[in-house]
Amino acid sequence: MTGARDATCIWLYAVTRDPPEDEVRGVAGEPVRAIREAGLAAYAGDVPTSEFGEPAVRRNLESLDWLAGAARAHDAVVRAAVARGATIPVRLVTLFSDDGSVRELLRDRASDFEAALGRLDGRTEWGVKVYGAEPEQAEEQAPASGETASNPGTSYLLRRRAARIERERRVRAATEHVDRLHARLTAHSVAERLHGLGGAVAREGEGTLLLNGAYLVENKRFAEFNDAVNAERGPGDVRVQLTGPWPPYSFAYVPGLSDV
Amino acid sequence: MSDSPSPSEPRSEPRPDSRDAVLPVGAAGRYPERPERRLALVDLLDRVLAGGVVLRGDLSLCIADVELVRVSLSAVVASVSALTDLADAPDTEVPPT
Repeated sequence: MTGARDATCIWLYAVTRDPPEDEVRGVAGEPVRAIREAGLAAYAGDVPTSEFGEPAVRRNLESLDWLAGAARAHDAVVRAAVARGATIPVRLVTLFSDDGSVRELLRDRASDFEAALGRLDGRTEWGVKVYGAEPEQAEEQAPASGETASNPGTSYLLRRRAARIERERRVRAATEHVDRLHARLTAHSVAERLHGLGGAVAREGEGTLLLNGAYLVENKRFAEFNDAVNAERGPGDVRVQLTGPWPPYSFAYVPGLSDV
Repeated sequence: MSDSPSPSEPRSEPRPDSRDAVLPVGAAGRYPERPERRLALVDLLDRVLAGGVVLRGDLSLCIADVELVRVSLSAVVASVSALTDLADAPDTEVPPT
């Protein structure tokens, strides 16, 4: 596989019904084209194996700059497809050797893809993240205990106990708030998926990530969903962040093809 | 898509990066052609690496397998943490009591 320097492989972006319009550029700056079969269109780009094939891509993935660039370019193509209609995003770094393999896949799983597209029609993914205070922060905010003791050790223990009780109260309040919020959002969406709390980095000052949810929302019902996000003023140290619209990355489930 | 939603102001205190991550949808219900959006990178990576349909490419060297992606994601998260001089994010759902 170490053939000509300009050898290419096929990078897949999305499966949809409509081919790209105008000019869309992909991860390698290449023009994105459609591979069409069975009424479906796969957004594909011919990318140099020297950068995007093995083993180069494996190495490149370790570079945050490279990965960020690839992720943004991939996302831009997926969004171009979303602008045309229902779209199944394909996971980053899905490579094929030739058009025939892609056509075969589209043909073999046409009904599955079609069903998945049907589920995504007229719907948009939104993200909701909730942050609570850092545990240490909550502890610092604990009210000073009114109890005093002549023994410094006892006084210290009393303060510690008060801080622990206060921390538990805050955690409970935040957790209950998040549970109610998630229930409301679920009621106003057609599907929901909880992302990991450890995968996303809680950035400096953001606090502890309490909820990292993705919700598939009917476009016509977005106003109600947005109201549900804002319906309840939570505890003071809890912050809610709405992100989107996203292509339906979290809902690109195709039976038998997906692991998500 | 003509009825595509557009977000209103989140209730929570506006933060630069959260606002940037909320993309306006044009009048025709389309995403901007060349958005100068600065998507929160971690949110994006969460989705493109852990979301999307998993198709097995026919290249034997196709690496769209979850394991490698997870390895890469850990590296990325570590890199992001290092870049922003952060400690690792907690893995627990709620702060430890």
